[in-house]
Amino acid sequence: MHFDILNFLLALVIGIGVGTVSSMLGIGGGIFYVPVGVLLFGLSQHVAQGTSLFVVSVSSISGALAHHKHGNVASNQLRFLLPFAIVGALMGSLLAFKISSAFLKVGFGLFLLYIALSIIWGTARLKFNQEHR
Amino acid sequence: MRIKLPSMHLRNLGIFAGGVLSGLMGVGGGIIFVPFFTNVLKLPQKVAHGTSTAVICVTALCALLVYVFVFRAFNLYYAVAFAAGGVLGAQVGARATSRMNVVLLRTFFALIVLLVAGKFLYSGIHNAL
Repeated sequence: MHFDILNFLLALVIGIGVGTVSSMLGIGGGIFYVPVGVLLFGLSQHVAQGTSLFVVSVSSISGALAHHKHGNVASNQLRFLLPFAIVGALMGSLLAFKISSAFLKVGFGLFLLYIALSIIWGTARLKFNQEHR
Repeated sequence: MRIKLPSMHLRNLGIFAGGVLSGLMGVGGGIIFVPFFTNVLKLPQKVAHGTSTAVICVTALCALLVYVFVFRAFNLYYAVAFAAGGVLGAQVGARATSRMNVVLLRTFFALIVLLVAGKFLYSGIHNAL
């Protein structure tokens, strides 16, 4: 694997930006790391998604521990929830490699479209609540 | 925190769908889990967020194992750089949030996400045809 220190530093700076923004918006960084990997660093759609999953894993472990400390994890339900989540994640990731990069991009585009609309919807509700307090 | 959840099948289906999305798109899946936990399972917002993060740990790790060990679709350098930056950025974000106009910030990022969605749709469709 070719290592380029400039790209590494650029990715680090972008990581700081994405971390800042996603913590402000209350959303995970995955939706940002995949586009940055594909559009800026020229990774393939599949590699960008794998790389994003690493970052999501690392940040959600520290996040989950913090939430657990504050008693905000419904831990008695996890043993019911996790088996389905695990099977889903395994099937989803196997499915991702049955799909061509082009179709995966279309799927990711639709997914982002849904996120943009849900952010807009959430913001409209927030603004409405602020004005009618 | 102990909370009783309703409708077993709905719960199983929702959580399965979130897992599939996580593996398929390479994201956490919180966009499914959080509204699902609050609207369908009636968890309080904070607990929904915390439980979602705990589930995402596991789904993202399982999906990551498949990406890395089965298909070798992974770039270690960018992963480390993004993760290190992301952890630092989360600290900055947590401090800066109270000083920002949230509506403006959300609108701005919704527009960026919309643009990126357009770019992915365009290039995906262009490549597929």
